[in-house]
Amino acid sequence: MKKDFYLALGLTVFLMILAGSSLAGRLAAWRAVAWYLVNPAPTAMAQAQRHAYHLGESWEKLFEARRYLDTLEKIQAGRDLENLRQSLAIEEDSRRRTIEAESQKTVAGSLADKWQTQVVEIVYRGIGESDWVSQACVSKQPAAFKFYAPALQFYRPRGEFILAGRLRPEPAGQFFYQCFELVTSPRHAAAVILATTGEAALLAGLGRPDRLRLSYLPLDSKAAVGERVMTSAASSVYPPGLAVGEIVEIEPLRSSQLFKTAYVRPYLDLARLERLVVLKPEEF
Amino acid sequence: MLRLIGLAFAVVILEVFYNLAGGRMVFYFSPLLALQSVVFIGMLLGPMAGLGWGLAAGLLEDLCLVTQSGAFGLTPIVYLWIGWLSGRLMCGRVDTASWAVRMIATGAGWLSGIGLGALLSAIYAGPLPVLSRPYLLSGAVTLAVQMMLAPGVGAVLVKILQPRGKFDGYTF
Repeated sequence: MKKDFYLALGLTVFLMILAGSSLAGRLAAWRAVAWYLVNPAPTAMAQAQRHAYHLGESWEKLFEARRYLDTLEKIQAGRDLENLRQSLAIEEDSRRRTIEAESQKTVAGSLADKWQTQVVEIVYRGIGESDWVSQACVSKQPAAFKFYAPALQFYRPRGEFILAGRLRPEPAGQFFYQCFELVTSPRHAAAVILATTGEAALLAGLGRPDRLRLSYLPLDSKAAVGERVMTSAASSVYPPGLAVGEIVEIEPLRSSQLFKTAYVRPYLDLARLERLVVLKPEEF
Repeated sequence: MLRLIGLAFAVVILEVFYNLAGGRMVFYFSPLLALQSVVFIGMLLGPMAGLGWGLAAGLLEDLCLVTQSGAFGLTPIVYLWIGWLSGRLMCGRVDTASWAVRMIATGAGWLSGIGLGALLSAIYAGPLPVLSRPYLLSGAVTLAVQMMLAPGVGAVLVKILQPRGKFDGYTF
């Protein structure tokens, strides 16, 4: 009993003297510095700075400088965040202005007589190339659009609205989106006319972003490359006179063919398809 | 002896890695594994072993880990006294296989260690943060968890520290 008790007592006295000596202070300081180097967290930094005076004035100044730099970095990070917030606000404002301007153009245009319009943001384009070319989905609206509602894109180079597609029947289990079938989709077809000759034809998507097929042109068609293609009054879905694209190629005629076929480059810009102007019929 | 040294290194390294990995960020939960181990070592191997192991583990921990008090040399004092007291009061006197004894020993050792640490810290480095109000609840939770795990920790330590039989060769 006595032997180990006195040993414990002796060790305690020794350790207490050690704890009060300058050696303990230096050891604690080196330990805090090493800990800070391994784990450079603010708490470790504070510990190291607290003990740095045991190691000399230069160490104190070093940690003061480090702390000063940390403070500067923090302030800079705060400024960066504020700049980011401001630029996001400016972008949001500009987007809102664009939507307003497009809405005003629609209202001022000829479509306003028979249609109500609504500008909607596209939130989903699907997964994979075929979906990206074929569909554009918007969040479900409080008043859902009716089936086959036509959708337009604002075509900046010409400053006009061009045909983008139509609302497609909603598949079962689609709770969040309403999707539009784009003119480039292989499931899309529409009756069209040529702007100058007035010849009627059927325009169908091919699943390619830059090409549509124009079928059933008359054999003696005067269609030429560069001819503008517009929606026809014969269409049961689209209002007449909406620009769709222009002819880029006419297929050479073979003797067995009863109709001419041409290929059209759509005005629809899939890469900049961010919003759609959806047409809703006026309620009677 | 080697096993005791290995155990001291293992326990301290575990605590250091736990703190480095941000373990304290989880509800300030910081298990005092070395304190628990020193209680068991004293209980199983006697006061001298408890004292020696506590001194070694405390010095090692003070070298590696920035303790909450921040002062150097106080942890070995706490551990050596807890190891010595544990061996003096319990070694050969209690049933070390009993889970209740292991839990009570852990609880008593934990509270004594914190109390002694707080006292020494008050003398040398100011009040011990673990006793401040925000840490009291997490301290109570830590104590409860360590007491619940005490039978398992005790079983592991018994397995590690039990004397190995001399190898007599294979018998067929």
